[in-house]
Amino acid sequence: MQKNTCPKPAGGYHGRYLRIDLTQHTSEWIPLENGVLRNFLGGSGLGVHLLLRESAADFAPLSREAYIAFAFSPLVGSPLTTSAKFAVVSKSPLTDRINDSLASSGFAIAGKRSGCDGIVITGKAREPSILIIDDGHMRIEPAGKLWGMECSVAEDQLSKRLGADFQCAVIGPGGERLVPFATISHDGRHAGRGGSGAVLGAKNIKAIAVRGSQLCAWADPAGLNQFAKTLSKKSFGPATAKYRELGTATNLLLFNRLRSLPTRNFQEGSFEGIEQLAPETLAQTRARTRSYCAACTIGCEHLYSIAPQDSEGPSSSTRIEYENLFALGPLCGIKDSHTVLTASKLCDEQGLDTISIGGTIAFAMECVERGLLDAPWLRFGDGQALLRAIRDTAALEGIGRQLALGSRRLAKQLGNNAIDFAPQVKGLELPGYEPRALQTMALGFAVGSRGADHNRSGAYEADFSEQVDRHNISALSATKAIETEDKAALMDSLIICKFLRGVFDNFYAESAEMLNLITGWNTTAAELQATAQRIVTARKEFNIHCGWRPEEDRLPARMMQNALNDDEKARISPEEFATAVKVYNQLRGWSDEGWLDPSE
Amino acid sequence: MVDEQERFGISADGTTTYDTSMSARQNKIRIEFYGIPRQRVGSPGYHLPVNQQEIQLSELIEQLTQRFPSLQPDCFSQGLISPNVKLSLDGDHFVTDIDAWINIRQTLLVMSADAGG
Ligand code: SF4
Repeated sequence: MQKNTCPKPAGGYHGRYLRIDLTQHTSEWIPLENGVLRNFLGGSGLGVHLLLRESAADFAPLSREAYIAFAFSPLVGSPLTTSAKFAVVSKSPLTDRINDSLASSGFAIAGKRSGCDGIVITGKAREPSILIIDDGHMRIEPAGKLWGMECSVAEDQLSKRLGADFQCAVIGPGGERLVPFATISHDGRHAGRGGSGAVLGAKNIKAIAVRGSQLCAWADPAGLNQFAKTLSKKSFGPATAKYRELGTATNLLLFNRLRSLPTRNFQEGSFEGIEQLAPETLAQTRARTRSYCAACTIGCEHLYSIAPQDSEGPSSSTRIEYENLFALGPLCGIKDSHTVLTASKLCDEQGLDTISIGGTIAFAMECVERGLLDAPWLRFGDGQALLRAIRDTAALEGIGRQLALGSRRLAKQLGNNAIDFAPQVKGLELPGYEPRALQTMALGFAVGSRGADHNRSGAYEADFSEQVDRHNISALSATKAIETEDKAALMDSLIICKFLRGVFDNFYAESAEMLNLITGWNTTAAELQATAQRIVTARKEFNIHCGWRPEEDRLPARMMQNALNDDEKARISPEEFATAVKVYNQLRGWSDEGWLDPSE
Repeated sequence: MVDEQERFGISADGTTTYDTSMSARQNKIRIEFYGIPRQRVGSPGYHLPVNQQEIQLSELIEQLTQRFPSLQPDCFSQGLISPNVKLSLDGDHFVTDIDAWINIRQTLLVMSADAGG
């Protein structure tokens, strides 16, 4: 293996990435210049840069030649709270556009200690395999019996096989079978959206195991420690209390009240049985524990026992987030908490994105109602049908073969204008924010480079404020959508957890300060704002290479034509929406249609 | 918590069981709590008695924090709205101006500021 590194990397960086070709069974170090690192930072930003550098847009996402990048960040391994995160970036098999999904914990720390700022993988292993990176040295071993195992079991077994100092990211049966919304799992966390698990599966890789001993220097260790202490202290304060005490699932009751909780495939914005699923109710009947990502002082993950405490026999537990409750509950018309928790656990173990599988099943349920799909058992509100549909999808059996297409491809297969009510943008199923009730978020969904997504656009923050009228999109929505998209791009590239966002008084200035303490740069808030915009633009550039067209930046027709069944005020004006998209593009410095060259 | 719910007629999801007739609401402002405010209060809602048909938000906050001291300091502090909560009138309009007037036909939602997940 050729050793190659940038002569003097900035603090927090190794100044190189590890490029692995599974077909050739080779690896090489590729230097990353300081200028590149300063321009793209790490995580999502660095990942998209690496893909552009490798011309990854040219290849089908599940092809042998496809690329997938695991990108670390300058903050990983530092004492900064919530910094143990990594980004997985590839062309999505669900959308055929950019996909960057984040996960947390020991894999990020061990991966960076292997001596690189990112791992880029191309090619395909000859047989189902484990990719092992041991202090920077690559080897491939047969997966053996791990192939076919559920995520947590596979991770556990691999850890026993290799030793506990290895950190492993694995795919489940969904990824092995190339379900285009399959996840990559690590330590109970998931790089969930967009199907990166299928990209690994297509490369015959069941798991990546990393360990290492190579540490990065920091420019000002004493200053960094002081900064980290202050940040940790703030993270114990009221700004994060919601995540510590209740978790994200507490959104359910509020969103229901505001009629912004997508219900029965986005036909309504409130759900009659919601209180049964609310964490406030679950906590009365179920054992609850909290869990933390490595290096986190917040601990937002709330795990509930699946069965109520008074039921007989042992019960396993599952993590509860707003998104998995919404997607497997109200979206499919299911109110039984035991079913929803079981479904959530099933998705996690099979390695399926809960939002996409829930969205696709809900869409299929409506298709059955309309007589477009011949599966009379698949009905809104039927919990057993939900569980069967998830199992069939992971196994690619029966109707699962169709559900595994995702809602957009399934709609195209069914015809009859089913695409009008498929709950997706660019092929990615919508998360739990009803666009007609949260119209700045609707814009964020439409223009988002990875499709409808609440992690790359936090535009709902504006909808929950005095700044905009959430029922009436306006040109101001464009400004707000850009602000929150840029902020998310920076958080996902530094990387720090979004649940920390409330603790910053001046996010860009404080981010510049922490980055400078690590790197020794003299970054400013203004420079980081420009960096965030550069990263958003790089994602768009990737999409354009993939064949992006302006007509992709829109919502499903039903959301543009009809009000919510239970809220007449939740109606989008197509004209105002089109204006907002245009203003968004103009403010980005792109053409009115969204091409990077404003003259196009 | 159940007692509180029954007492104030607000269901866990904040949407049902409440008698919205004017007689039931006379000189009371309906307040609903979501997220951390609900945790602090231990109830999904409360009917704040008022002397007139409307009340200024600053006065409402004072009375509310007297009734529920646990709302301080995380939700309200020294008569001001903490950055960690948001207030909405009827779920439609968000308010930050403590001089705003709220009338008895309106419902005030007090919620954790960070709505996302
Ligand atoms: S707040 Fe939650 S998601 Fe964020 S780092 Fe901590 S445990 Fe992980």
